[in-house]
Formats: sequence, structure tokens, C-alpha cells
Amino acid sequence: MKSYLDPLTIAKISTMSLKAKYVVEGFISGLHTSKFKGHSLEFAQHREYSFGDELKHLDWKVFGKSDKFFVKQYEEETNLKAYIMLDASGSMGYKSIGISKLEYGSYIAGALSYLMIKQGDAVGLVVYDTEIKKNIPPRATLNHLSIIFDELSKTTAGGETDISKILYDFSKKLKKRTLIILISDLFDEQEKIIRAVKNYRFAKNEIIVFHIMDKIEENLDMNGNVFFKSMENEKFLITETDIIKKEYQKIILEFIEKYKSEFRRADIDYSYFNTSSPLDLSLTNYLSKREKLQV
Amino acid sequence: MTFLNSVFLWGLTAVSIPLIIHLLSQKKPRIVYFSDLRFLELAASRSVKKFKIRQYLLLLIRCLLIIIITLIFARPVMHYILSSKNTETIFLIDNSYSMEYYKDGKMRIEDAKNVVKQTLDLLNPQEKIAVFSFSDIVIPVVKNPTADKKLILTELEKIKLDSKKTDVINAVNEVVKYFQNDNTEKRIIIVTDFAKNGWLWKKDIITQNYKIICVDVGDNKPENFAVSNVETFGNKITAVVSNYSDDKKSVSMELSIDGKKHQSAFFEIYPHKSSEWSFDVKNIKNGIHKCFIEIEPDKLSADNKYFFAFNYREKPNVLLIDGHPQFSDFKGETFFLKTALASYCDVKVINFSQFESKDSSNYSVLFFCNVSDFNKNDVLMLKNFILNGKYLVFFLGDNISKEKYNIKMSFLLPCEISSILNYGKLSNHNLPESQEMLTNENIKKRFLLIPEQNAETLLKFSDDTPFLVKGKNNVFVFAISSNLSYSDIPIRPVFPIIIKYLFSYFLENDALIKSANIGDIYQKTAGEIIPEIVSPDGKIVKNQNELLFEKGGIYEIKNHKMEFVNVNPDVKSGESDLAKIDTAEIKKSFDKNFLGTVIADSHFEKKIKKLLYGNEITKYFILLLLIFAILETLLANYRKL
Repeated sequence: MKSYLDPLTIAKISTMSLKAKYVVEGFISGLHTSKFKGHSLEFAQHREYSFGDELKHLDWKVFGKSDKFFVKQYEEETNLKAYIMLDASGSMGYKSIGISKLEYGSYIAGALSYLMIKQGDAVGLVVYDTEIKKNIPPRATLNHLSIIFDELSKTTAGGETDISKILYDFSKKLKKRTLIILISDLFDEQEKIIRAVKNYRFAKNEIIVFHIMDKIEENLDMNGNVFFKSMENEKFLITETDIIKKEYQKIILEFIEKYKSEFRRADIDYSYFNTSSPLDLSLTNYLSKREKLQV
Repeated sequence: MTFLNSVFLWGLTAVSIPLIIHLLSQKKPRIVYFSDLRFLELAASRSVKKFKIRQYLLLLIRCLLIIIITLIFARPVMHYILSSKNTETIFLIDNSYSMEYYKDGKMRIEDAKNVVKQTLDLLNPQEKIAVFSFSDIVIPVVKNPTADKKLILTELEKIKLDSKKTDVINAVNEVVKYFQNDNTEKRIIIVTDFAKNGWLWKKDIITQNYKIICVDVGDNKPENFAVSNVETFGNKITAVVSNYSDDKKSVSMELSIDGKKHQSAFFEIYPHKSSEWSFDVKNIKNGIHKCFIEIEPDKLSADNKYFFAFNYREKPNVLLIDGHPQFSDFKGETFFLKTALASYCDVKVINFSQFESKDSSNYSVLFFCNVSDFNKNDVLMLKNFILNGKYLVFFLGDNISKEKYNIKMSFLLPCEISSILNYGKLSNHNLPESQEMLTNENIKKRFLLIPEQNAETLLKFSDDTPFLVKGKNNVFVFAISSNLSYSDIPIRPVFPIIIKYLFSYFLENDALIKSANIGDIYQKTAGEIIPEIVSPDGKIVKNQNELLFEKGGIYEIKNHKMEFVNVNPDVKSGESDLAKIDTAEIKKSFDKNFLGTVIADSHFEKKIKKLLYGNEITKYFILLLLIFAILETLLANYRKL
């Protein structure tokens, strides 16, 4: 558990607020704001009285001081219900140096779960490859956090990926607006993935995509004749890495750029990490960007 | 294509090096587990095809680079013709007298020999070689092709200059004929001075298996003067000197008689022209004299001296007796005759009435022109006159009585004078030089002469009847008159020729003078023996059946009649004219068989090598090497670029 709650990471995340971009309807109170009324109201600002305003919202103290009618306005605090969907297919087990993509994704998932539960949000965890291997429903308790951490520490990579199918299937189970945090290398049919992710937005859900790749996957920084064996199936390829490197880098760049542009167009948060980037920095960058979006 | 350093061709085996490297570089791949192969497959499908094409191209270029480097060291030569190993080379070396020409202190023949030596060094050591020298005859030097160069060099030194003219075409034909049963591919290398008179294309050359190279050892701006002819008549010697150079030149000339300098002359000759110079000879004895004319030394000395035997006779005194004098000289019987005779003798003209009182003993020849009749004393005097070895000539005419002539003079005249005929045309019989002049003569009348048994018809009409009859007693009778009453012959150009011809009988000597070229052979009719021969150096040889004129000079041949033979180089052939033939003309004539001409200058070796073996193309391979090296660098560093 300590590995997921690295003090440095937690310290940095604690200084910032994780706020959803959109107000999500929910039952659980938290730090997240909503246009709708909730169980507790918090003063937001004054507004001059206008015809039709309820009289109970008049601030009489202001009237006493200024002899003018002002109405108190409140923000409703809502609880966020979030699912962290962690890809555990074979390809996520790939690591060149340091940690695998799955490990890296697990750290992000752990850190976010901790942060969100601390804020009173309900977090759930979905681990999948071609099918959902584990589904922990969202809860906002600290005990629930330990369940998530347990599951994360047990998760291993294996099997093929079918992200789009998983996303479609899972979206049918959601009945309220939910925040989905998708952590994956997105190595599947790109068009299908993009459609599936966009589908969540159409259903008025919030989806954040953490795209994780290994540095070698990014630049194929290796030499010579290599017998590549697939980590997800029995496929293999023998090739000269020196020959294909340039073309490969070009393809991968196009691959990433396509996700980036398509998701931006659909107003979907997309962040790309490679496993060699510092974990805490990746989270900090993401949260900073999230905060800006919140303003 | 052949190679000058073919041993380097072993380097071609190095072509296998890039192939071996290529095969060895196919290392066993290392295994890497990878997350997703789709992108790798896509990248491989896009890159590997291009890469493989590039790699094979690179392999090809590297193999080519090794081939090119090997070829550069092997020095490739592109052939103009396909030459087999059995190709034989025939050297034809011009040894005509023009090859004596001096240039840069050397004779052309020496340069020709050097050309052969230089070429021998360039030929394949196994190549068989034959050598012939030629002028207008071909002499084998090494007639059976051999690879023994030592022998060739030894025999080459034995080639001597000839005094004959060049005949290249004859030489090539003779050689082709000599090797006609030999089907080996041959190349003929003709080494000559390119003097154009040596290239007279008399007949087609059959040179199927032959390739011809011509080497020019001549001077580009030849200068030569030659005594091209000498003629003698009476006491006159006329020399013809030719200037075969591009500049006007003053030439000094000497006449030597019997070994002593007799007269000299100094005159100018224009470029490519000839000049005649006549010497009047006096104060020597009548008879045969051994003479020569010599001009000052020049670059070709062979044609500077001309030997000739001179039959000297003092100018004879001739008396013309006019039998029908006229007031007008032009109409007289002796006017044209006197004019024609003037250059050969001292002529005196009298009327027949003066003849009786005239002392005829002072004259060698008497001409009776249209004299009507002779009395007894006259006839007796004439009889005594011819008995003294002197000459009588009769021209007829309307004045004469043929009956009286035929009766009174029958013992003198060589013919009977018959009827008068009204038409006639001269035949060129015995007068070849007058052939063109005998076309327009107008003969109105003529006598029909019937020669006596021992008489000789010297000149004839075209109907074979006599024009001029000579008797054994040196009495001559013409069938026409000596004026224009019978014909216009006296005013025709042929008349002086007829008179000169007649006059040659007055100067006749027992000795016979002939001309020959050095190298000719004098031969009597089969089986006859020449009793005694005196060569120009005084050497006497007896009882020979043939004689080779080895050197210039006068040969005395003592036969039943004394003969003198003037032996000189063949100057009349034009060999002394060294003006060069145009290469294009040679090329055109030899056609496909012609490989080219080479000038024997400081670049000779390089040029002849090119003709023998073709063009060395190493430099092109160096260029190719550079191009391929650049290509190789670009392709090898394609990805870095």
C-alpha cells in the first residue's frame, strides 16, 4: 500500500483539489460542486434582489447595513462517483526498464483512489483485458480504499485486449453520471476505442484517459535483428529494428496524435505518460491541468 | 576487349567478398517480448521492401566497385576489331629511293626500321611476324611468319635502299597473293613516306582477312630537287631539273664528260615546276662519251645525278638544192626545210644551176628539192658522194620527170617513182610522238613509191604506201614535195619531227644507246650469251646470259653491236616528288580493312598501341569508380541523411 501512497506523491496531490469538470449528480457529498441542490449548502455570493426571488434567501444583515436587498446564493456540494478502469491485458505487462505499464497504471490508480476517497468521493475499480476481470463498486470509505489497494497489488497482466467492448459493456451498467478514469496503453483498434470513449461523453459522463506507454514502445530504441514475440497472443515478427525504427516512430506519433486530437475535439481529457516519466510529476501535471479546466 | 595487365583479373574473385559479408551478416535474431506487434508489422511492411531493394542495390554497387577496381588495374582496351590470338602481323617497309630522304640527320629508311622495332616491342610475344620490303617490287625479308624477334631484328638491318619507285598497292596485292592459302587473320603495317606517287590505285585490293595500318615516316614539308631527264641530240645536251618543294630555288648544275667537269649552269626553278637547260658541247671527239649531270646536294641525293652516254657529232654541213626557185622564198622548195634543219646543222641553199660549180665534198648531206633532171657528171658525183658515207635526200615535185629518175638514177634510188595519187594521210608508224599531230594534214598530191628489195620504208601513209624510203646506200626519198604544192605538211608541227627523225639517221653510229633503271635486269634472248660487259666501275664480266644493273652509271655491253646502257634511279616515275597523299584517300580506298594511319613522331608508340589493341579505356573506369563510390556512400548513409 505504501507503494501506492508514496508520501511525496500524496503531499503534492494534497495541495491541489481534484475537481470534476462538470457537476455530477450524486448522492455523496464532497468537494465537488454542482448546479443542483444537495444536502448541504455553502454560501457562494450575493446578488441584487429581483422579482420572483424567494424572500427566505434575503440577507437581512446586508439590508441593515446598506438599505439594499441582496439575495444569498449557495453552491451545492455533491459526492463524485468514479470508476477507475485499469487495463490488465498482456501488453500492459511490458517493461523495458524500471516499471511495467501495469505497475505505472496501478500507481496512478492508487494515488487517485486515495485522493478521491479522502475528498469524500466514491471510487470504484474495474480491472479488465478482453473482459472485466474485477469490478469493485464505488464507495467513499477508507476501508474501501484498502480493498482497491489489495486488488491493485494482486493484478497481473495477461491475455488480449478489447477495450472498446469493455467500455461499451460497462457503459450500459451506469445509471447516473459517473466519472470514468481509463488507464490503458490503448493498444487496440483505435477507431473503436475512440468511438467507445466518445460514447461516454454522449451519455453525459465524464471520462479521463490516461494513456500509458513504455519509452521503448514510443521510440523503438533498440538495434539489430530482433525476433519480436507478442505478449498478448502467439504472433511474432522477425525484423531489423534499425530499418523500421524511423517508420515505427512515425506510426506511433500518429497513433498518439490521433488520440490527442480526437479526444480534444470531443472535450475528453487525455493525458499521455510514458513509464520513464516520474510518477508524481505525471499526476501533478494532470491535476494542474484539471484545475485549470475547473476555473 | 583485352587487358594490358590481365593478371589483375584474378582480382575479380574478390567480388565474392561483399556476397560473403552479406550472407554472414544475417545474424540469428535475439528474442524480445513486445506489447503489440501491429505497429511493428506496419512499420516493417512500409520500410523493409524499400530497405531490401536498397540493400541489394548496395550489394550490387559494391560488387561493381570491386569489378571496376580490378578492371582499372587490368587496364582494359577496347578493340576496333576482334583480334584472335592467331593474328599475324606483316610489315611492309618502303625501300624505294625516296626513303633515302634525310630528316633530322636520319634517312627515312632508318626511321622505318625504328618504327618496326618499336612496334615489335608492343606486339604480343607469341604473335607471328613477317617482313617484306617493297618499291615497285616486293622482296621478302622474313617471309614465313615467326615469333623469333631476334631473327626479325637481324634481317631488318639487312634491308637496303632500292633505286626504284614506290608502289604500295602492288606491294599489298603481292603480299595478299603470297598468303592467299593462309586463312589466319592478318594485319599489314605499311611503313612508308606517304609520297602520293606511290599510291596509284591501279586495281582493287583484295584484303578480306587483312587489316591495314599505315605508318608515315615522311617529312611534312618535303624539299627535293631532281635531275628528272637528260636528252641529247647532235652536239646538244638538255637536262630537265624539277623542283619538288614549296619554294622557288636557285640550283647549280654541272655537266661532266668522261669524268671531267665540262660545263656548269645556275638557274632558278619555281616550286613544283621543271626547268630545262641545254648545254652546247664543243671541242670533244666525235663518238660515245660517258657523262653525267649533277645538281647541288639536297635532302634526297639519289636523284641528284643522272648518267648518260653521249654520242657526240659535230654539226654537219647540209646543202639544200632548190630545183624550182621562186621569187617568194615562202613558195620556194627549201624555205620550210631550211627552218626545220637550222637547229641541227649548218645549212646552205643553192639553185640547181649552181650545183655543178659547188664543191659538195664540204657537205655531209645533200637535199635535192624538186630537181628536174641530172646529167651524167651529176650522177657520177652523187655516186662518189654516197660512197664516202654521206647522205642524199630527195623531195619530189611537179618539176621532176619520174621516167628520167627511174632510169638515170635507178642504181642510186631505193625505190621506183610511180604514179601521182591525189589523196593521202600520214600514218604514225615509226613516229609515235607525232600521233596527235597527224590529224589535220592536207595532202593534195603524192607520188606512189615502190621500194626496192633492200630498201626500208621508214614512214608510211595510212594506206601502207611509202612516205619516206631509205636505201642501204643512205639515199632517202620522200613521196611529197618540200613546199606547199603537194601538201601542207611543211607547215604542220609534224614536219620538224619528221626532219629530226630523218636527221637521227645522219648521226647514226654503230653504237646503240639504251636506258634502264637501277635494279633492272638486262637479258638477251633465251640461250644467247653476252660476250663482255663493262660495269660503270670498269669491272669486266664475260659470257653472261643476264646482267643486273646494280648501280647507277653507264654499262658497256660488247655484243655484235656495241651497246651503252644509261642506268639511273627511276626518276621518270615521279618518285622524286615527295608530296604526300591525303589520308582520307587511303582510308576510302582500303575501306573496311583500314585501321588508320600513324605518324612516326614522339607519340608514335601511344598511337600505334591504340591502333593495334584499340583504345585503353581505364580512364572511363576511373570515372565509373568515382560515380559508383558516390552512389555507394549515398546509399549506405541513406538513413543517416
